[in-house]
Amino acid sequence: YNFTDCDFEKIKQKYQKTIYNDLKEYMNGAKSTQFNSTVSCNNKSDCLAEIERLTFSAPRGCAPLAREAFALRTRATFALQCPGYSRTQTNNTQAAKKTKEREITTKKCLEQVSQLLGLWGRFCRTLWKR
Amino acid sequence: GESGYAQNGDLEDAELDDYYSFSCYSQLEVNRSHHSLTCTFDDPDINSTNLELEICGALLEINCLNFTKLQEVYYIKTKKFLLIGDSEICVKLGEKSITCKKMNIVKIVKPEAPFNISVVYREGANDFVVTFNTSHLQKKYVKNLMHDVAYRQEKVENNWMHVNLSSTKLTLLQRKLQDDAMYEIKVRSIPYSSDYFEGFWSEWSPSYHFRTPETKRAE
Repeated sequence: YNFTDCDFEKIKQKYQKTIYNDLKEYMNGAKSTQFNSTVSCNNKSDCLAEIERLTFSAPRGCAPLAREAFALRTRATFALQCPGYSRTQTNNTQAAKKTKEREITTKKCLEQVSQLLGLWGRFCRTLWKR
Repeated sequence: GESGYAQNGDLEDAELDDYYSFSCYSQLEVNRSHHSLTCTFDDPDINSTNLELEICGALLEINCLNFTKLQEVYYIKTKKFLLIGDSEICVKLGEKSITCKKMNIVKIVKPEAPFNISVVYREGANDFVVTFNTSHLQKKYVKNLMHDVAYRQEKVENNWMHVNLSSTKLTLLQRKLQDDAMYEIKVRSIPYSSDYFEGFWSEWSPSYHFRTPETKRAE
């Protein structure tokens, strides 16, 4: 999906007011500085593409994050603020539903969520420069 | 038809919407991480015996939630509000939806009332320091509030003076108040206007009563 037509300001607001709290709660006190930043993004739509990839992909050794509150809110935000996004999403939601039990939050998951915090932070900063 | 309305059921639907109209407010993190949603019918005389309310949409991991009914108030306590996008709240009679309304949980927020309002007189500064507390300082979501402090001289009916502020402390100058007079002061809160969360005024805090000192007139 190409994120260029999204309403970036509204996405930033929804991130700052809801998704950010979820990500911090997921980290549950683990310092995001504990992990090196291994992903980055250049501009607004590139950041959203990276955020989508990292949010909805299941890294090895970590239950898919797609059922977490921050992922559900990320998807709802993209569906609301990015024209046509919902139409591209039917198979991803099915994949998320197949996972039954939620595995314990492993270090791998924390690392991935810490990268997400970095990407969202980067996304917000790209909007400051406007 | 003579009444000039369309022949099909539009008139009935409009009447239904009117007759069964209801209002709701949400309170986020009202009990640790639980939120609440409270709805009541606008017409207090409505016979709501078999009427149920249901919310669908903008919920985490579930499609719909049923309200619990306590006397004439319909109530939900949950962690499942997505806080993004619109929900639909329907009045139901059995399985049939009689009327529905689109609502966004984050736009109908009613903050919890502030508390512990108190006034301290500072003789040296000739002023009164007013402080109060709000549970919203510790919340994750609805943190930005506008407060409305109202004060009046007790014997003077409805002559309330109002001060709007976003902090929880303000000073009243002694020279602006009557000498040796009893005053009543109270405060309420509303989500800050340009914030993501919007909504209604909270209830008023309990009032605090204080007396202004007698000032010694220069001879």
